[in-house]
Amino acid sequence: MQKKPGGRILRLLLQSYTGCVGLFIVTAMVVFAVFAKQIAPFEPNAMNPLEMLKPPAFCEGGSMKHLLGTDNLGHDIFSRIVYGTRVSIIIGVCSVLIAGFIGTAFGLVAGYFGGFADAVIMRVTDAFHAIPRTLLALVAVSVMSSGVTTLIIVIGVTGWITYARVVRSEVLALKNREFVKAAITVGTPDWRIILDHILPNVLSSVIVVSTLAVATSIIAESSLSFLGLGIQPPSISWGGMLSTGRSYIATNWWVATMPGIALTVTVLGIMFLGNWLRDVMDPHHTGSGS
Amino acid sequence: MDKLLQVEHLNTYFPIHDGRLHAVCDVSFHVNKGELLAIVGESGCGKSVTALSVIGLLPHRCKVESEGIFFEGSDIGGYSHSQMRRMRGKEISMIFQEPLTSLNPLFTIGFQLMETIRLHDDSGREKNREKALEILRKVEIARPEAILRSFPNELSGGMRQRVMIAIALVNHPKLIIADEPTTALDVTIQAQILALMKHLMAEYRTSIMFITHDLGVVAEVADRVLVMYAGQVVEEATVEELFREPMHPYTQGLMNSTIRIDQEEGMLPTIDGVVPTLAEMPDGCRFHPRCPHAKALCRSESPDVRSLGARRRVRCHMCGGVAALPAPG
Amino acid sequence: MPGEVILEVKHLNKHFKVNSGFLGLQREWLKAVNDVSFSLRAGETLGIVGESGCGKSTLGNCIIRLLRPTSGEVRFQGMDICAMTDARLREHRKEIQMIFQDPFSSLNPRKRVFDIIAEPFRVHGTARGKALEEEVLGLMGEVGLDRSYAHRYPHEFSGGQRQRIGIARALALRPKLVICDEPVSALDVSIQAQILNLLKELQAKHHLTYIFIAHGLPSVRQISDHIAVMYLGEIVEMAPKNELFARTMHPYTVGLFEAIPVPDPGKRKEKQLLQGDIPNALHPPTGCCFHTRCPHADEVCVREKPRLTDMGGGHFLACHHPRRGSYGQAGEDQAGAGQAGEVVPGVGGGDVHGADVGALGTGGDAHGADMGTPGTGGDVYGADVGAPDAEGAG
Repeated sequence: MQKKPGGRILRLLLQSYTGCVGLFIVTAMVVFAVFAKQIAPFEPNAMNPLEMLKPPAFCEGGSMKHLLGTDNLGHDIFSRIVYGTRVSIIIGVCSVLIAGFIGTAFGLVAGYFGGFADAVIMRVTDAFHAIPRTLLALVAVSVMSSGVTTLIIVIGVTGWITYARVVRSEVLALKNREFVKAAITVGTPDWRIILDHILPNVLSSVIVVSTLAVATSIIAESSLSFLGLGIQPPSISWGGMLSTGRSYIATNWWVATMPGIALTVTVLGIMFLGNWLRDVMDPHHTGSGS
Repeated sequence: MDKLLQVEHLNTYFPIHDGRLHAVCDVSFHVNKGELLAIVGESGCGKSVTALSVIGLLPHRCKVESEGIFFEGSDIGGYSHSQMRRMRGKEISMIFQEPLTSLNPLFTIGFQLMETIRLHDDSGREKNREKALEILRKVEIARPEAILRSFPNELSGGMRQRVMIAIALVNHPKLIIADEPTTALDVTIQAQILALMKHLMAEYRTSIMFITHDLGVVAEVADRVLVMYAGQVVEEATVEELFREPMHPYTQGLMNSTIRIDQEEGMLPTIDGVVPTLAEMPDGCRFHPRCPHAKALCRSESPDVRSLGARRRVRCHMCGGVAALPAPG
Repeated sequence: MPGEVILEVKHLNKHFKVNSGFLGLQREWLKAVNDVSFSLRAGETLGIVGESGCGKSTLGNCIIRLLRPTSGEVRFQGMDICAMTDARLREHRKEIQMIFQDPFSSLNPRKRVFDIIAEPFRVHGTARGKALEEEVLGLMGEVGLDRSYAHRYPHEFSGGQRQRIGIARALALRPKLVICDEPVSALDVSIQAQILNLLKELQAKHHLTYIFIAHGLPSVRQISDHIAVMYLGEIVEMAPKNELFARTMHPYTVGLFEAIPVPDPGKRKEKQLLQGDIPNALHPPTGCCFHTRCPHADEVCVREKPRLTDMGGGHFLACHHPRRGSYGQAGEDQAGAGQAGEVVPGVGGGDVHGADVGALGTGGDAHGADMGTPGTGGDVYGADVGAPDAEGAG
């Protein structure tokens, strides 16, 4: 009857192909980031003027030495992609933590208390919605220095509105459920109702939003870096690599394409994992039938 | 009496990840012409699934097996999708529990009613409208013209159920399957709807398969009754016989635990325990864990349905002789 | 056995603001609970019966102050709950608890049974550690749940078992008053009796006072000492149970009795049913709120609102033409027999709900043959339908 929770999660994972793929990609990404030094065959910033713009190994003229070829300065692209995961992960995760925390808190307060607090918070989210992220990044870069911290703050601060909206609407529905009324009649204080009863029930939505947000944050980092507002050389990011590759797209396509593929695969993997996590988080969901 | 619908050994399965659930288990019954057959049972007993299996409205992944579902002699169990679609609404129609979800909120009542007419028996816009008005009058709606123009959400629950009955009846079907048609309604409205259904049934000479959990409603409207428990038919009898002398211990328990208005106060008789889930069916007789008369035989062997007289069937080891069980107290 | 008065409700009103009309610009008030008064003694049960939209649940929510009443008093043990500050209220909430209708929505799906029942103790800090465990397991035993279920999640239980969990939670703080908001209507037939028995046992054991809200008279009869019948936000009849059954006076109560399906095909009979629909609560009828469906209504009923008055023996009634038939017997009808036959055809075209009420009968054999014109259902249903009403509701 009572199954071990671990067994259930494993069973659910094996049932979902996309879940397996997602988990594999995300694990690979984490391994790349942590063991970048061991995995990457070259120093990412080691220039080699003799081997500039070498095509990838599987193309004519390529060699196994540079698996994914080299760029205009002779950097090994594979090594740079491996190091680039670090930036992507740090920015993706940190900005989502910030956004998720702010957004969930605002959403809970707005939804639960309603009235004035709700009106103010929702107008603030509207206002934030109206500010273009790029503009905010421009201002932030000119005020602070450009770098990882600035990027995290810019992406985090612009990302919380989705959370606030989603959480608020969920709370509005939950607030009228009888178990919340039961908690009120028992005398449970408001903060405890929010943390004990409402938060756990919105958490699965928050996680789904978060996986999407990690993906969009990684894309946002890349696009800001692409525009030159993000990570500056010699730090390595996929966006920066795309930016350098842009000029060679007609003659040496792999310089821009390889980091582009890395970005796409990563984002897809995270989304697959997110969908699967949503199912796992639901205590009713035990596969099909129980 | 002529049999309108005859279902032979119906089995319905729901697929799950490691196998399948046996939701309806070897159910056989028939509905006579002009008769109201009530199928009564608690939630999860398979009464609705039985009805949906007959009319072919279960999701594709569910498996329906039978040795024949005969409607006026032809086996509709083997009908294709398009054949079934032509049957539904014309020969067999259905009334659901919650009329708000079975009416489309975006269209007027008139549109939906006339759509049903048009699909099966189109005779021009004016004629169709006349037919619609007539059927609305039949279900005792006072201002049918106004109703034709209104949307489902503008009507009360009772009025919506009247409209559903009108839609079900408009093509003069031979059989109506009504799945808990009054459960969502208030008591006074329920009484109105029941009276209306009985009245229209006689007028249109329709048969009704009436699914309900309420023995009170059964006693009010039914001619014959099928009692279901855990996916099986446990008892079948005419309504008088069933209420005079319920034989299966489950039927007895259900009758005793139904709260009656004229009942003396004090502790109410109950059936102990809970209804088993499909995944955890007990061995032997499915009712034995809750049965006050269970013997060793009941625990090990599943009883067959036995005929006791022409119109009476019981699925119980203990009901061979009629006097084997003490009468319900 | 009845003790002192524990709960007194005086002229309680709860009105909701409803935006209607074009762009919701039109503000209207929905009178969900309208001038309700009653009192209840310790250890007794008041059953509140009525159909959907009659305000019975709103009344329950006001008494426990899940909703703040618009006006009126709810005095519990002499103190006005409506006037309390939130902090005072929290202390007080221990004494009034609630059992909810829907056992699937009343338990937090992400909490284990143990934590659900333990919450009241934790909130009020009345037990912890080993003592808490004993309290919770003790409560589970008391409501008939196996101790081994403590670490399961709600979705693993059936409706009846979930309702038992809800009852255990409500009893955790040893309340004096428990509001049961349709506790059995979502359950299977064979389970309803189990839960009613359990509620009765617990009442005897802990000397609980119940307010038992339900839409059906049979279950209310089983548990109540007094019964109040509500219609469109108002109490139309209230009496000690046996008195109400012996002398059913309000035509609506009579109609409620008549409508109950009797599980006995031998007693099948031509019923005299209440005709028409329950009016829209946003636009209640003038005068007596029941006159649109009442077989005895006359001009007075259309014009004047009857007051809830004591008819003797603790029997309160709001009706201009009281009936004196007991349920189920041929009534020795005296009062309104003669004039009841003359029914006014309606209030006039303008009023939606009064529109098409024709002459129709309840009466019949059960309550004394008193009707002149037996009902022709056809004319009646116009009352609640049609374009004007539709706009109001939208």
